[in-house]
Amino acid sequence: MFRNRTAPSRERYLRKLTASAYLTMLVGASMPSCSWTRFDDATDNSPVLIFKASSGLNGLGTSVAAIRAGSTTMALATGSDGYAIYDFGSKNSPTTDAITVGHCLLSDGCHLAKTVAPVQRDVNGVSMACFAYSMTAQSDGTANVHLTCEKNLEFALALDGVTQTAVGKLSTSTTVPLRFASGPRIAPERLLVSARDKGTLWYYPNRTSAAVPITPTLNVAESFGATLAILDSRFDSADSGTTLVVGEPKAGRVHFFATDDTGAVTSQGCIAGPAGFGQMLASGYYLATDLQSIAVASASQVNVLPELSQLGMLQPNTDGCIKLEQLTNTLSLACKEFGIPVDCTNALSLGALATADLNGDQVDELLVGIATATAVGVHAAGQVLTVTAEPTKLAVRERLAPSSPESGDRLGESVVGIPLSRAEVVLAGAPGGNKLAAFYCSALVPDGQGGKRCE
Amino acid sequence: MSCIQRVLGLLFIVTLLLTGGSISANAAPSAKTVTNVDSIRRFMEKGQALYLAGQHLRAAEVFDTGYELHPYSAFLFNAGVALEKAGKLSEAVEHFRKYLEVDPKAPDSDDVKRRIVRVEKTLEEEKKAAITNETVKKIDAAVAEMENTKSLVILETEPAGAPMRIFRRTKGDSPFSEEGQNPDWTMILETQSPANVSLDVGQYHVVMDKFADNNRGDTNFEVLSGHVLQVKVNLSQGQFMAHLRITSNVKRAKVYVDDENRKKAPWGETPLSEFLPAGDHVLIVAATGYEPVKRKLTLARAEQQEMRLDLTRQSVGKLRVTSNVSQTLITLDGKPVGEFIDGKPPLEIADLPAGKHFLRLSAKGRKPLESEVDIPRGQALPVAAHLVVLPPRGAAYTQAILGGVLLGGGIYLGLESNRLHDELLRDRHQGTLTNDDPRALRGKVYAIGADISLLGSLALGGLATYNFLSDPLPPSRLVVGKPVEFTTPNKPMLLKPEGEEKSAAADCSNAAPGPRAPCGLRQLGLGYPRSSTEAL
Repeated sequence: MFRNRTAPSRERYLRKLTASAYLTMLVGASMPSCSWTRFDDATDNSPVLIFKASSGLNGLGTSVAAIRAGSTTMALATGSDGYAIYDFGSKNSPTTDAITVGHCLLSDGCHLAKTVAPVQRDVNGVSMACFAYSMTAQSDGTANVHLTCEKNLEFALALDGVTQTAVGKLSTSTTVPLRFASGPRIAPERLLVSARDKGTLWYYPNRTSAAVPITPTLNVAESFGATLAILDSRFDSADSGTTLVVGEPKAGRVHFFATDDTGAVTSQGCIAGPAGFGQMLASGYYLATDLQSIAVASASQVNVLPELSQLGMLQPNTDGCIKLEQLTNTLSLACKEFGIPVDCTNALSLGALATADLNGDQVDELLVGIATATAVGVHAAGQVLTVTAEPTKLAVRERLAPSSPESGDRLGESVVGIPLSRAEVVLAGAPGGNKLAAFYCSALVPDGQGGKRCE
Repeated sequence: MSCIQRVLGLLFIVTLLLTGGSISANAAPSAKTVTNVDSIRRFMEKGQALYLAGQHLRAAEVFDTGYELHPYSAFLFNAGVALEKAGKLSEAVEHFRKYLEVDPKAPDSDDVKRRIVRVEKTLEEEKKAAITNETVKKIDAAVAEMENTKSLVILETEPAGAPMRIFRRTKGDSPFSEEGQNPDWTMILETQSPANVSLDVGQYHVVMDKFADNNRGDTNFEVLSGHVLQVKVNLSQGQFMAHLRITSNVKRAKVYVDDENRKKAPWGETPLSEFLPAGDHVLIVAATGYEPVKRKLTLARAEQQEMRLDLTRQSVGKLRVTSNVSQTLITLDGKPVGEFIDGKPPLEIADLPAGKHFLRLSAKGRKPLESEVDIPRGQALPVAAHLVVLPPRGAAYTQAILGGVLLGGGIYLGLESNRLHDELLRDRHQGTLTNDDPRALRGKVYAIGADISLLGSLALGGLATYNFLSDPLPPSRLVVGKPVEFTTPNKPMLLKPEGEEKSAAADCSNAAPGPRAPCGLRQLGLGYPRSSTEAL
């Protein structure tokens, strides 16, 4: 009469279909959601390393300096109240924690330099890598230049009498504007020091501790000695010696002094440029020649002056300087050519010039730190330009900024090339962020040669 | 009248239940129809038994009760006799008088009147003086003389309306002569069938005179005291007859003779044995739910013929659908055929070709029921649907929604994670990616969040799927009853409760009110049945 039958329900089929689609969607959606370790993979051996300040240090990156110490390379960075030394090793694996941290407080009579410099010293016949970073008062009230060296050694360099007098007694309330420069760049043996803002300048020739005072022949303004540089050669007729370069940015002048192995210093004249000319100085082999050039920044322009030998042949102006325009073959880079968002009226007022051979081709690149630049849309994050000298001009080859800048980092307020085994990397200070950034990869390095950080 | 005519013409059935004595013959209302002979007989026999046992008062009470229920004058007379026997003379007089009032044309009315006079005289004597022994002897003698009670005789003829003459043998023992003189017999009543008469004990003969085209008939019968006698006489017609017996596989099928359009009343019902005039006839046997059968036949005089006419079922049937849920939509073979409303008769779908049909029933909040039903030929198939409530899906929906939210969140986080990863890779390719880029941590958190969300959504999705698919409740079932005839009243088929089922998940609140609501079963612990279709 009837037949048992389990009725196939349309609703049941619909439910099964919906559930299957739902599960499929879930599984499908979950497939690309992979493990979070890919972020570790991405940031492992990152091309940019950030060095955070040790506790108690503020404004890390106000100035930076680097020097080779045996098989490794050390970098010193100052803050507002001390310094930290980092070990970059020989390749691409630095220790991001400082190996040495030192404090330099004005209240203790320690005057921390605005710009620090590496210098090698001989200690018991052994060459040691040191950093000149401060000046301290002795118990008798006299001042010494203070060096910190590898193996946590400290040295003090005495001042000569003239300079000691000029520097005067160090105060514990007023900072002496102290600046260092050294050369040659890779193995610095000479140290140029300026203190006070007007005319107090002295020099330590080849690894010596005897200070040689330098007295300008011209009337110089208050900013004389605000910037310093050393050329490894003289551009006059002498066969050997060093050229000391002293900036007087408020007067827009750059002074040149020649010195020989004896330490005798003679003025070589000066170059007058636009406003702020000389507010940043650097020296390097920017051209594919044996001649070292001086790079001079004004308020909104960077110039490389390859033909300093012309100085002696040109007729100075009434102020004793020749004009920048009188020099031939000067290579310039105007602010508008930086290619970064920055106020060009005063783009270089806060920054630094440094030299590095990033690709190891024995031709140096000029590093231009622009601390006021906007980076990745972040105001005053700062950038570093890698500039190369072309036959007729300077060209920006890359613009370095970390991927995660913060407003007010002021990256580029200090910058230095870190010489490693094959090439150099860029270390820039960002005192606003109390950190340093090391850029291991450069567009100038051919693909595949930048190491695993640049893969 | 020949021998055969006599045999065929006077086929009578005399049902003599018991015999008894009688005092006189008296007539009952001749037109009254006896409708409950058994009841009448029961009172008559009980009263008679009590009377014979000497319990006269109780016998009088039974006769009175019998009269109240069945107002036949025999009960009054018998009660009067019993009362007189019990010495209740005044009450006996009242009963005799009422007997005459009820049946003034009773054949023994004169005797009863004389009896009243005699009893009243005795009663006056009782009042004037103490009853002497002689008086008592007179009374006893009189009562003994007339102590027989009357019997009720029911006289019927087929066909009814025959004029009847009832004769009583008053002396001698000669039989009643049909044509000659009958000096021993006295006609006591002339009436018309059917008739009910109260008769005394004795030998009687009833003569049904010829009327219309029916032949004359007569028969003897004996009346005993205090009984009910039913005499039925079939009268033959005045022509030569044949006897036909008709049987069929269907009992009580209607038989029509010479009525092809079946406009007249049926001749009878199967099995049927009847006389038919000799000659040609058209016979039709029909029954509800069957195809009628028509047969022509010729009957010879005095022929006795037996014929079997089997009927076959009609090719269509009916389906009667009832449900435990009001407003159950019913579809048959994919077409909606109606709705079952609680409180109304089952939905009847008629003229369905016999055979298999696909039945679907659905109601709001209930599991739909689909089943194949086999419609019988020429019968109605009652089915009762028990639609089980749909299992609750609230948890499944909640899980699905939460799973969906988690899925959406997971997809968003995953996409954000991918975007950040892409940015990091781009920055790494550009050489600007820092080791402490906060996007790495953020992307990692997003990736973990995405994975957790997707896993959560997967789990919830699985749960939701399970809860969507799982069904703890049994399927709806269809109870198929035995096919019934079309004439069977269309009443809801009661579901057979089954107590072994669980019904914890059923939701009473969804149950539509109705006499067979499943919640009622559940609350009684009867539960739901397991099978989807079953037969009663």
